[in-house]
Amino acid sequence: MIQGQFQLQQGEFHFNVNFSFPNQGITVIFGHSGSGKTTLLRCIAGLIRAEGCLKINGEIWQDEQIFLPTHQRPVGYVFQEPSLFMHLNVEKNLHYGMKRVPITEQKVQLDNVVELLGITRFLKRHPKNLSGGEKQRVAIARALLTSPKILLMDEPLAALDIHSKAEILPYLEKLHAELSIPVLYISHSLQEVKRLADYLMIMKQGEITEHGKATNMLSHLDSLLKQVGWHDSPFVGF
Amino acid sequence: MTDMPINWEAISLTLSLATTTTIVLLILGTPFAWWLAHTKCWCKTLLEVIVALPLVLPPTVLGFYLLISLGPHGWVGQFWQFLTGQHLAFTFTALVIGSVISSMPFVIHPLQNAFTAMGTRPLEVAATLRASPIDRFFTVVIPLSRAGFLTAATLSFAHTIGEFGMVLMIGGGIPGKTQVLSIAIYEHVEMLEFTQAHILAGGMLLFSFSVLFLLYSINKRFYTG
Repeated sequence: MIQGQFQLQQGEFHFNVNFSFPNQGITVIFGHSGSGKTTLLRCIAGLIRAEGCLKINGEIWQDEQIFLPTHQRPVGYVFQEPSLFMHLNVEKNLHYGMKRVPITEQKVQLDNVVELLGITRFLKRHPKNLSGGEKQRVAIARALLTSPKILLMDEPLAALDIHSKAEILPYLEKLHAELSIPVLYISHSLQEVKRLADYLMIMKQGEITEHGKATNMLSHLDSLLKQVGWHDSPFVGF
Repeated sequence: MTDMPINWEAISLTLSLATTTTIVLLILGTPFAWWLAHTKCWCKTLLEVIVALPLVLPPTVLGFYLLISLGPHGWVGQFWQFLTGQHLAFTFTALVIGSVISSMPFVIHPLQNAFTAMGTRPLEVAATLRASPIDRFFTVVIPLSRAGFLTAATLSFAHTIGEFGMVLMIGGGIPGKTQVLSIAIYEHVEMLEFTQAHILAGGMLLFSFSVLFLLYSINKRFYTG
């Protein structure tokens, strides 16, 4: 299990979460903008130093005494924008994280990931010559190649156009089916929740208000959404 | 002054001064510019103003205050004398100290701008890809700010070569010791040695033009990828 508890005060915003979700499959965090979804991911990655604790499969990453800095946490992080290194070509971007992981800890193979995400044909290209969807696939591959114990994805499709979203979703489904890395995935889109989620956490105003298996929760999602104040259509981007 | 048509001593001294100044400024200026680009400290504006002062002050004002502090009665000069037993004013070391202060904005500004423009995202990405802070600096910050580093190094070098008023005041223009090119040209003209003045002045013009042309060409390539 992945368990944690974080508290943070950022100006007016009070962030107080207590969570526990399975260490397999895709856990989707769903909620309004400003509900604290990205803050939660950043706390797990150690990019924000909140008070609290974090335990991944029994391994303590943070508690009252310990705070592992980001570069010592085996996380993969896919940001909303692909954020590829513009001074490196695609292949070197992929190698950047991989070569910093000891060989004995490398569980994900370059050839497999490159094939899985369909990036073989543009390995030698520069990021500026890639489409938005292609860049995001490279960013996902780069994160996976660090053989993370958890993959954090912060609305990876949000910055893409409808065409690129449609292009990437099947790749995410393939990842889900073929890799055993647990994924924590932020989304605004019910379509993504329905296609990807095994487990669902709903956030509102810095708290997790509901969580559970996606199959159970999706059956009464409308009432849950109303409960967290989601009156507009959640079919954002589709 | 000299019968030689080309004053090699002044050329060599000027190049040594410009190289030393640039190296010292890059070593000291990089962490300082990094700090300025990221700090929220109240004193940031104050420090930015101090760094920019040599851009607007007449070189003689800077030279005057430097002469006072580096001289035998100034606190820097006295401290130097306590450490080494030697005077500091009118030495090559004094020229380096003066040039470092005078060229500081030409290094700090481009570096600070490059670091600010880069933002923190590439560093966060690198951290999630297991790069330690030092590793991130050398593999992400420096390559992504290379245009800033190139501009800083070139401007610092070129500005030091063109310095006149300040180096005259704290160096005194002693041939072979503190007489840099700009002072040598001035003295050639004073002694009506126009051939030597032409050679040095023309050489400096050509050098400055070439350096700036190279800088603009390379920077254009960096920005257009």
